[in-house]
Amino acid sequence: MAKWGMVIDLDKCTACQACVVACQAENNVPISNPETAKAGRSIHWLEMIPFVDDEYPHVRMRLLPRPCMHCENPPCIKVCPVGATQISSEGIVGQINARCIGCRYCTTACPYTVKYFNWFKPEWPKGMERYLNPDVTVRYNGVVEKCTFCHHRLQKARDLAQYEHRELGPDDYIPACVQTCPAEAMYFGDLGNPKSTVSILSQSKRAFLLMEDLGTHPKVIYLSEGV
Amino acid sequence: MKKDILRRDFIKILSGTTTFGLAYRYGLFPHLISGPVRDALALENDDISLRPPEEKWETSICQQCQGGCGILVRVYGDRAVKIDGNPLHPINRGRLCARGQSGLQYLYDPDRIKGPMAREGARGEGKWKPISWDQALAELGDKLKTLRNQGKSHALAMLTGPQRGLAKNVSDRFMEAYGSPNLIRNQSDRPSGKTPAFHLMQGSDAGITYDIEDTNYILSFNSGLLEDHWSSVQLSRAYGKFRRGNKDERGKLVHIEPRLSVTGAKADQWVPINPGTEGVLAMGIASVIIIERRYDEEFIDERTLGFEDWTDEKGASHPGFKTLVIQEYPLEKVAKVTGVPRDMIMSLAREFVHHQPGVAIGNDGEWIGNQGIYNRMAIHALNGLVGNIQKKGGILSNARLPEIPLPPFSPDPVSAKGRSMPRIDGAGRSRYSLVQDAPENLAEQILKKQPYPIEILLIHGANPVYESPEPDRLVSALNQIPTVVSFSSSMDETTRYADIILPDSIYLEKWQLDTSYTLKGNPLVSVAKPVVAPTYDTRDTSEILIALAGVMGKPVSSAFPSAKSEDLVKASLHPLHASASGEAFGAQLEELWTKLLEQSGWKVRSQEPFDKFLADVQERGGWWDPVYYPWEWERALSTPSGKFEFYSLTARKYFSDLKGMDKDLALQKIPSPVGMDKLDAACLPLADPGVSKENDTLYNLELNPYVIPILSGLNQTNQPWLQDISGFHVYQEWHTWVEVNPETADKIGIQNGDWVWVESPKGKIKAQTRLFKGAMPDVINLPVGLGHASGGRWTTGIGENVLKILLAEKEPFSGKVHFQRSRARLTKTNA
Amino acid sequence: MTRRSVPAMICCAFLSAMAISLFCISSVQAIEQPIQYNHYKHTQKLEIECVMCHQGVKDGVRATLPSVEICMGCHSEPQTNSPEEEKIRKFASKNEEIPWKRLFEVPNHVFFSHRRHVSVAGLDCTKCHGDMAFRKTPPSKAPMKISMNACLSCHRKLHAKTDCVSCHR
Repeated sequence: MAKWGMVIDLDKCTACQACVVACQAENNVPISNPETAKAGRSIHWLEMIPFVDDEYPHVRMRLLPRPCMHCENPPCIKVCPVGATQISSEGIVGQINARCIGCRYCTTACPYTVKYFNWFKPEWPKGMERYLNPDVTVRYNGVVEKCTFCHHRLQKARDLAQYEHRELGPDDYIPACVQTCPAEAMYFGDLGNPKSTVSILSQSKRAFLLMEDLGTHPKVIYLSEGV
Repeated sequence: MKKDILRRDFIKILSGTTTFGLAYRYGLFPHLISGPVRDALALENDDISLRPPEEKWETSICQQCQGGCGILVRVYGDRAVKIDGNPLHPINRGRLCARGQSGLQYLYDPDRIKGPMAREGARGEGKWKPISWDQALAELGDKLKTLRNQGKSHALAMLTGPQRGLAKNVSDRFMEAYGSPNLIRNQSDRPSGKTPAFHLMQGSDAGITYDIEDTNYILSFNSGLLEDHWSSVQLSRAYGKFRRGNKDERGKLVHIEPRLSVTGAKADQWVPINPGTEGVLAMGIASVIIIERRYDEEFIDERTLGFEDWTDEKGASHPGFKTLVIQEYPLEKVAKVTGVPRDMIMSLAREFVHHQPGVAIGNDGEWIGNQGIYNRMAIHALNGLVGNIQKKGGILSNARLPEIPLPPFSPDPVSAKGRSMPRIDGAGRSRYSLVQDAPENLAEQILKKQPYPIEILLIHGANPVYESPEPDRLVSALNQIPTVVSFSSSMDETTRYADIILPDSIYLEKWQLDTSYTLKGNPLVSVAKPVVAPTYDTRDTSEILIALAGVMGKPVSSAFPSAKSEDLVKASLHPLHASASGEAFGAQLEELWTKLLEQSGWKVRSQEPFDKFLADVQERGGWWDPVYYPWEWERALSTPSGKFEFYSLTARKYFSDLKGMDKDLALQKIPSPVGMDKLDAACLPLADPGVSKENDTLYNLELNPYVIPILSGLNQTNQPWLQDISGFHVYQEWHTWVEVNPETADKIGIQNGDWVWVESPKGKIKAQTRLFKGAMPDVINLPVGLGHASGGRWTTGIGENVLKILLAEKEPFSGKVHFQRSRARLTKTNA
Repeated sequence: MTRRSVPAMICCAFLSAMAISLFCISSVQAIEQPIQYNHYKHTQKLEIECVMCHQGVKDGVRATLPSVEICMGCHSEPQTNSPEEEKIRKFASKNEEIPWKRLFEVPNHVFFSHRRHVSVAGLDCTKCHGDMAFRKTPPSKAPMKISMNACLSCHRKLHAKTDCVSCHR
């Protein structure tokens, strides 16, 4: 069984935010506006997070693209009273919006703050709804949504592969962010397969995990900058 | 008591909610779930029950900026639902940036102009009435015809944005056939790498490029490398390989900028520098290289001019670069001016030489900040010193683009007469002899009615009212013109002052032919057909121009063999096919194979039939020539001397040809070093920090403007996906912010989030304070790109137009408007 | 005391009103098809396979309702005297599609692939569609209800995936 995971090489990343927009385009994420942004209620399944350290002139700024970590031990699923968020046998932490009651326990439980509550009814001005992805449901107000590793792409890819009587290839399923990354800094694949690119990269001495000490076992692995 | 009630009520409501939640959980209210979900997704046009909408990926070309990326558009039924990179396109190889992804919001922008309109009421009042295309074309065609019949065809002017390929060919041809010299392109230098500094030092008419992928070291002088590059996707791809390619050495990046930008954050070393002094630092680094004799002597002997003092053919002696560096830029002085310690300058110089091939990169945007042409030359001189020209991992000159012309035609005498008139913007003459277009002069000349009044102005792909340093003056110039026509697809600042709007279609809705370059200097031609039908009642501007020519009748109408862009695109590809060079885009393996065959002399050009060529090129997205020969020196160094000119002969000729007032004006601002002729000094990289009044007590801060990366190069900014992430590094969106060093803020008495007036000698704007440790003390950073007065719900009134408070200067040589850094002060105010 | 119970009463009233309204909405309306189509005759008497008219069942993610073009393949000339059959040609002559009403529908948040269930897993149509093929007149509601419970019981029985994200999207 595959264990889907992602590797992000910060040494190649240019913080261009192509992944951020590709994600929003792929997943019908509600669009923001000044009021929503001011209230801190914009939704970004994948967000570029700045960390500024030290003092001038030795300031360092690290820029981290942060999708859902798809933890092997996700804190969010333990607090969900209705089973709306669960981890699949392939390691994808999904959010079943139709089941979510909007209690927001999971948004609180997630140490990476990857869960977003829909405070408003997602709306698109007339004509703009045409770009919505037919493969992804539009959420409604009062539910939580999050990065799904574009698992609708897995559904389609697997459907096609099975129909064609072949195994799922390494390029058949990649999330929108990885596909678009201009610096080719994002990798995606099966962490369970020791020969996959992500497995090999995850063994790098530059590899680190976010908040590893919490015991969440993230499946998004970062490679640090520098030699 | 009251508290008690509240608490009990709360508990009751809570239990109610729980009941509801449980009921919900056990599926008692399915309608609540499926209702809104289905409504939002089952779009009217998706006839799912009878036949599922056909789904395909169509090739096209991204036009969100000038990068020239190839795209694949996922078309579901009749709507575009996703844009991704075209894996075969050599520029982006399947990758795409945030702006490219956001093309869907450009296409389906609800605030687009939805059909042709005519002005009602006064200019700029904003009252419009829809008219039909037939009526609009007939009326405008009539006016054009009358003007031409009066023998005043030159009184038509057309102002465009940067144009390439078909759009360029059609506007050129239209103006040629009509008979006006006044096709004024707001030509950005960047896409073609034709920065004036390169022109002066290297010639390189086709432009130059940096081989980022294979370089070992990048010395970046406020270059906006990772933020504001003309082709950001291929830059990012190259950057990824520069860092972690299949090389032995991981590339090192040193970034010099007053502000800790994204490039600074990603660099191995960030060197804060006093604003506007990057050129001086470059000269300081040059002085170390020269004094320690670390330069490439062989290259300097063979391929450069003006390194040492030299004597011209008439026997007159001139100072060289070395003399200038030693005399004018001693290390102590450089350290003092730039604020970069002496030791660091020395180590930068040694590192740069040691890690060759490496490149020194300046800001090729050149319209903001203070990297004027001489500072830019100083930075480029470093590349000459280490001799990295035409080397792998160094500076490459672009190979020549193949011809993709429209079928030939011969203009009539009326046209010839009109074309012989001087251009309204003065480009190509006296002070503007080095440039083809000088849109910056337009307002002035129109107001003066010099050399003649303009009767009709066509505006396409340019928004000068937003970008102008003097918008009011430009508006009054527009008001002098009897007929102003805009082809804009959105109600931008300039379009508001038009009489007729003939809205252009978006790139995804039309035929395209585009030219560009890879960062390795390979030329390419991209081809695209429309991927969706026009969303609104708009037309491709090329087809509008052809239709206008048609309305005017012969001989103007005979300039175009067809009224359809499609036919013109196909016709333009004939010469490319006949040249039998290059090939249709292919996978990277094919590319290697072609190179191997050609370089070993084995490639046999099979002359495939045109139809097959066309089908191939269309399907794959275009044509390119993957083979590049670095030894083509006559193209790489096409200066008068055929060498890399530390002392620019082009500049010398330019100044020598100027007469009287013009000459005085041009030389006026150039400082003359002791014992050096002013004319000589003006031909050397005379880096200059510009004006700065450090003792200014009224304006006690330095204002450092920078371009918002995510919005750079966009045609329109009414795209919420992009607006929402514009200032992510300081957690600010949807309003203009000002980055202030915490210590400085403390001194002034402001805190994070405070609203302040940012005031320069020219004016003031409101901004929200963002404390940012990456800002230098006493230097405040302001983002440029917001503050549109019109254009749509996600851009109108969002933030402030920073250009309003920046001083603007015209550059020598190009006359380009250059927004300067400035002095400023902050005062607290209410939101 | 009375003042305190007012909000509670409002709450109760609101909830019961809501329950009643939901109940009203949920009573299924009878569906009437534009043509009195006889499944039995086509599939059993004439032995036409379902997939002949419902294209996409075996090779597509989505199955479809027949377009008028498919019907006209046989019915461009009258086969019977039925006035119902005449309706097909009437739609065709007006260049209109037959406005079939869908009986079976999965919610939009579910990814369901017909080809995977039919071609890959080899399931029989009756598993989900019941005795549809034997109906002589169009049923007024789906002969079998599509529910997640039904999906899951079958998935469990056949050891197919029961991860939420393998179907929900």
